[in-house]
Amino acid sequence: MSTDIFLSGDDTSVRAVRVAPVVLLGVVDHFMRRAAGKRRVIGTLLGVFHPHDGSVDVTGSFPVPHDETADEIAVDIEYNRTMVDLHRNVSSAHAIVGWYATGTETDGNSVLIHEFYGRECAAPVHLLVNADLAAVAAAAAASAAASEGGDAAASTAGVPSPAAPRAYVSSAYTIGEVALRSEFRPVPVAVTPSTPDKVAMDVLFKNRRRLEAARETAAAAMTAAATGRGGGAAAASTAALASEVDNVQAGLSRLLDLLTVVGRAVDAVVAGEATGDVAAGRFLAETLALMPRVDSHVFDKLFGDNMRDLLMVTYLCSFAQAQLPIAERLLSVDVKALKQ
Amino acid sequence: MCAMTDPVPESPPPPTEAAAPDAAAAATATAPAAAPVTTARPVRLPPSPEALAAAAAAEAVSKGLPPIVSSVAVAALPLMKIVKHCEDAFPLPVSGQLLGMDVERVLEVTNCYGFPGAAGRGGGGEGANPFADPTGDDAAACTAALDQSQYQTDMMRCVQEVNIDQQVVGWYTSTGASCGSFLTQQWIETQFSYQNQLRNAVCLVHDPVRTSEGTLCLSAVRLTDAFMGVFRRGDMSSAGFSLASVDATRIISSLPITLSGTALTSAVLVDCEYAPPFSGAEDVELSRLGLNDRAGVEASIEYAIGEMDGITREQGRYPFFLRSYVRASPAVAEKLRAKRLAGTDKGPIGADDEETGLAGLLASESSRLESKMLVAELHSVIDTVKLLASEEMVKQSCVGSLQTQDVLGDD
Repeated sequence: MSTDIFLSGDDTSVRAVRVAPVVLLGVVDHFMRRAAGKRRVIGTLLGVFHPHDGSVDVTGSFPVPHDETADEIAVDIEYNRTMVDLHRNVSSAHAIVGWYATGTETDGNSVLIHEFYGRECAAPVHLLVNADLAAVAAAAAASAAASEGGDAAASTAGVPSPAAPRAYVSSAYTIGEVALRSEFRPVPVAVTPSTPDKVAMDVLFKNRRRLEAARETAAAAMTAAATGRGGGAAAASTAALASEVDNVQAGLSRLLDLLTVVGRAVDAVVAGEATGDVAAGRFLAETLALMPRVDSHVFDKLFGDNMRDLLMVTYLCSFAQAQLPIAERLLSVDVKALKQ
Repeated sequence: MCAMTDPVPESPPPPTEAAAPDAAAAATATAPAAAPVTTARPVRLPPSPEALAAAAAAEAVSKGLPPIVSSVAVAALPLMKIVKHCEDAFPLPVSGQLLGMDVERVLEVTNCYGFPGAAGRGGGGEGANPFADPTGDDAAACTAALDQSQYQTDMMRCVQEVNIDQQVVGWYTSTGASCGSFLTQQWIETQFSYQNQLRNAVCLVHDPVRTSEGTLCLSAVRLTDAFMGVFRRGDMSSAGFSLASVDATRIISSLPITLSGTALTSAVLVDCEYAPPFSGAEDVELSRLGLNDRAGVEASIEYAIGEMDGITREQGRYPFFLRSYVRASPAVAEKLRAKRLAGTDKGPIGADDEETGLAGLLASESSRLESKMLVAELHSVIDTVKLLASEEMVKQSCVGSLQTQDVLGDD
C-alpha cells in the first residue's frame, strides 16, 4: 500500500503582474546606489491588486535598507512603515503589493522576506530583476541585434530575455494546520507602460541611441558619417526633447522606411524571387482597403478648409504676439521716458 | 545679496534644516511677522568651522565665475517618476522635490519625490512651497505647512538612508489641465524662495496633456536675476519693473534639458525598447502620426482667449490710474526741468529729487505683476498654439499628398 501523498499548494489569487517601467528604473537605480559589498538590494512594491481577475499593477517602489548574511537577515521594518505612510500622503490609492530584489534566483532569505511581506499584504508578489550588467547587456545586445536585423517579430515572439523581470508568488503546502513548506511559483509578468510612460520612454530610447552614436563617433572620430537606422535618427534630432513637429517628421521618415520594406517584399513576391505569404498578403490588402477613397472635389474642399483654418490660426497667433508688447506698454508707465 | 543666500554646498540641504527650525518657530510663536516670502529664510543651525571654511572657499570660487547652472541633466528615473506622478494626479496640478547635485554648470537631477496635498486640497500649489512660513494667520494653512515640513524632514531622512542624492536642486510642477500655463503668483513666490535659498534651483514644468498627446513636454525654468531683484524689493509698480528693465519676456528664463543615463539604465532601456509594448504596432513613434481631432489646439486657443480677456480687463481698470498719472506728470516733468535748469544737476538720474515727485505719483498704482504675468503667459500659450498648428499642418499636407498622388494607382 502506498503512503505517497499528493499535495497541490494552496492557490494564491495572483495570476498576472503588470509592472510600470518606472519600477524597473527605480530598482536598477537602487542597485547602483547600494552600499559597498552588498550582494543584492530589496525594496517594497506599491500598486493595486485587482481581485476580479487576480492581476497586480505595480506602479511604484521604494528601496528598503536590509542586511543579510548566509543565515541571518534583517529588514528595516520601521523604515518600510515610514515610507509607506509618506507615500500614502501623496497617493492614497497605492498599497503594498509585494517586494523586489535584484538577482537571478530566490534563496532561503527570500522566503523569510516574503513571509514578512505576507504580513503587510494578503498575497505579496516577489519581483526579481536581474541587475547584473554583464548578463543584461548580453541579453539586450542579442535582442537588439535580432531587432536591428529587420525581424522585429522574431524577437518579440521568442522567449523572454533573461534580463526581463520575473515575478513569483508563494504558495504554501499544508496538511490540515501543519505547514509543510512553501514554494515560489512563477507568475507571468509584463511591462505595461501607460501612454505618457510610452512617450517618455520613447524619448529615453532616442536619447540612449544618440548618446551611443555620439560615443561611437567619438571613438571613431573620422568616420563621423552616421550609419544605420539608429545613427540616422540621432542625426535627425539633436535636442534631447523633440518638439511636436520634430516628432511628426521622425515618425513620417520611420513610416517611409517601413513602407519601403513592405514595398520591397511585395516586389520580390511579384518578381517571383520569394514565395508569398497568404496571411501577409491578405493583411496588406485589408490595410489598403482601409484607405478612404474620397471624391477629389470633396477632398479638395475639406483639405482647403482645414488648411485655411490652420493658417488662420497661425496668422492670428503671430498677430497677437506682435500686439503683446504694445499691450504691455499700455499697461504700464515708462518711468524712464518721463525722466528724459 | 548673493553672499547671504548662497547655500553651503557641503552642508545638508536647507529644506530639511528649514523644516525643523520653522516648526520650532511656529511652536514658540517667536518668528518674525514680516512679509512671509522675504523672511522665509530659516535660522540655520550653527555650521561647523570646516563647513564655514568650505563655504568661504565656495564663495571665493563663485565670485570669480558665475556659478549659475546653464543646463539641466535629468536622469531616467526622476523623469519617469515625474511623468507618473503628474499622470496619476491629472487633472489636478501636483508638485514635488527634485534631488541631485550641481556639477560645474550642469544641474544633475537624479531623483525626486512628490509633495502631498494635491489630492486633499484640489490645488497642489498650496502645499508646494516648502519654504512657506508656517506662522500665517490661517490655522489650516499653518497646519498644512507644518505637515509639509514634517513630510519633507521624514522623506529626506529616508532618502539619506538609501544613498540617494540628498541635495535639493529644485522642484517640479505639473501644469494639470491648464494648457501648459504655470505662471501664477503662487508659482513665482515658491520659485523665488527656492532660488533665494539655493542659487541654482530650477523648476521642471511638465505638461501632462501634451505628453499624453505624444510629445514629452518638459521644460526647466528659473526666474531671471533681474526679476529676482524686482521681487526682492517688492516694488511691483511700473517704476520697479522699468528701472530694472524687466518686461514680460524677462520674468523667467528656461534652461536646456539633457537626459543623462548610466550603463544600467541604458541596459534596461534597451531591454524595454524591443519588448512588445514599445515596438511594433504599439510603437509610439507611429501612433502619434494619427490625425487626432484638434482638441489640443482648440483648448490652447480657448485658453489664450481667456488670457486675452484678462488683459482686456486690466486695460479697463488701468486707465483710472493712468488718468491721474497723465494729469500729474507734466507738473512732475516741469519740476524736474526747473531743478535741472537751476543748476542742481547731480547726474541724469538723481533719485532723491525725482522720487519726491514720481514715487508719490506711482504709489497709487496697482501691482503690475499680474499684467506682466498675463502677457508672459500669452506669449507661451501662443507659442504652443503655433507649434500645435504647424504639427497639424504637416500631417494635413501628408494626407493631402497621399490623396492626390493616389498611391493605390501605382501598384
